[in-house]
Amino acid sequence: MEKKFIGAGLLSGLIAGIVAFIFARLFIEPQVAKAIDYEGGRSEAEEALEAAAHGGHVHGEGGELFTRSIQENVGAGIGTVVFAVCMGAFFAVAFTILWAYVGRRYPATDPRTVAAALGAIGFVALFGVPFFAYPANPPAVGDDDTIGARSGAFLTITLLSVAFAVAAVVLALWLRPRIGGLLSGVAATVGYLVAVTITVALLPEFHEVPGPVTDGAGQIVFPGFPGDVIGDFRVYAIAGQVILWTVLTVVFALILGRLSRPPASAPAADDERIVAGNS
Amino acid sequence: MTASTHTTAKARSLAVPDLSVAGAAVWLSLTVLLAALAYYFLGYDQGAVSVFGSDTHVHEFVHDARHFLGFPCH
Ligand SMILES: [Zn+2]
Repeated sequence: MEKKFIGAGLLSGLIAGIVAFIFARLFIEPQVAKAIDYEGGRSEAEEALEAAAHGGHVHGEGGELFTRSIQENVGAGIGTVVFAVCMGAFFAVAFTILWAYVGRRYPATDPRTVAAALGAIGFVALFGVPFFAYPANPPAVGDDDTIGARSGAFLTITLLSVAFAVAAVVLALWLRPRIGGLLSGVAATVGYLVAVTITVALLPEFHEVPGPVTDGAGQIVFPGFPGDVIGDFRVYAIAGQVILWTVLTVVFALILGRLSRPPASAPAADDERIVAGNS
Repeated sequence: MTASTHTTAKARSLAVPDLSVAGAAVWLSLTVLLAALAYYFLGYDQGAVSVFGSDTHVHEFVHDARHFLGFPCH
């Protein structure tokens, strides 16, 4: 059974990735293009200033490895789909383990309810919490010198958020027979939120939105990064992940529905049925 | 995932491993491992660290996706 779940996760991820990429290509990519235009204009202004100050020194950036067209269409598409397939794989493994417990302990549970809960947990733990700690930024927002520190902090909050979410689910399942489903869910959620809040408070902060470029006299020669581009970019980034996780969860639940239905020609004693909880 | 349903009359000298559980564990572990590897290469490799020296081809290729997905970038 676990192979069928993994296959379902990979297929759900593939479909979710394609849908999320179509959304991203239409709504997020224009914000990326605006940010790259800003970046180009800014470095020109800085080079002109530097040339005036140091007598014609211009630092040339190396040629791009891939054209913008390749990056925004092929690279972004493959990257988004690979990400979604990874999420689908994690989803399938988490579902298999969770269902192995819940399905045996509470046989009346609809596996699609478990999948829906898992989709919500995955969205919050793998995207929501890391995003609220370190919001997504368009190109040009972010200091090259801190990329190592920012990557490390982002990976740390992502891994800890997932670990806390796993602990919260274990806690909820352990408390459920003792204090009931609702209270155990609330207790686990509060515990998770307290743990991630403390973690985020302990991690470093980064405020790297480029301010205006000024010349020696303090005159603004190039404006700061446009705030509306950052705002739009972040709203669309959240929307893109909502779409990705929703499609992933819905497709996975639909496949579960098909797996649950015994084949019409199969004998009555079909121990491969998902409702039996076997794997 | 299920406990073995086979019961033997006599105790065996060596425990028979339940391969269906072991098989499931292998499949699940392998899936997590491969997905984690792909996730790492997509979101982190060649940002701060690079497994294959200071090459940035993977980073540049999936650059826009990294921004879409909220990974730290430039
Ligand atoms: Zn970037």
